[in-house]
Amino acid sequence: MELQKTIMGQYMLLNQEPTLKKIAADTGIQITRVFRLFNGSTMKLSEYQIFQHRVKEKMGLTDTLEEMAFDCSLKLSPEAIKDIEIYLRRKMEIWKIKHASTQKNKIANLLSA
Amino acid sequence: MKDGLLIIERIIVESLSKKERNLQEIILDTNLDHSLLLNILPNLLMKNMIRYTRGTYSIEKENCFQWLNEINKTDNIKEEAKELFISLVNQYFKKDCIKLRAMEPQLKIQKVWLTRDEELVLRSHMASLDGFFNGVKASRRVKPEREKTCEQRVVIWGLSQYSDLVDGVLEAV
Repeated sequence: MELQKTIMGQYMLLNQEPTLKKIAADTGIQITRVFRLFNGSTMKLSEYQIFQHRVKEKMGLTDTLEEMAFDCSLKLSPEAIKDIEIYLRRKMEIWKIKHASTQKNKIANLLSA
Repeated sequence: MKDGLLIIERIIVESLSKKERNLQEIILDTNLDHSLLLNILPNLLMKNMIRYTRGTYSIEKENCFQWLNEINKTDNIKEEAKELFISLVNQYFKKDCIKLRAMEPQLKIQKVWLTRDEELVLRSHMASLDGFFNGVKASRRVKPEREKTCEQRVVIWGLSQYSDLVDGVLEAV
């Protein structure tokens, strides 16, 4: 229920409190169903996904790494997911090392200035 | 030690496996800069792979079989091989206006149908290549040159049937 409240709250905020009619037109969910959702009925997973997609679209997050990673986590095999995890983890390890050395250089430059 | 060594850790381990070195010598041998090394070396020290004594770094020989077995596990080597190959491909396709790289990388991929005899010739060439590199390594052991770890050439070659590679891509999802 919490997730449902969050996603509906985000949707309303991003769309500037639209009317039930506009929500129904935007999501493709019947207006009477929209009314029930906003009055305490439990969302179906498919309805949640529709709201979530709309929210992400509004936030410009449709094609990002986050979206891709989520999609992969739902659709790919465990082995494929592990491959991607390992690749990303190694990238992050290298980033951490580079970042730490850049920070040290900055501090050293500041101290010697 | 998850995922084995990163390429930047491996080059340091390779450098120290030849001889113990101080920081400046590691910089010259690996071409990694000072601040980067100051972040990698403590990690290797913590993993008990290297030791630091009187200003020099060296391989930790006491438990080396333990950590060598770990970093050289098939899965870990596989990740390092992928990292090297991806880097080679990226280097080859990088469009540099100014030449920033030490040498122009080469990359050749051939897709060709071979008769049985031609395949034997190919495998024989690949075996000769292997022999050539083994000979070079043996020669270095007998008559070392002033070779730097970072100046080594990385040569990658392999052979597979096209359909096996395609199947592999399909399986990897």
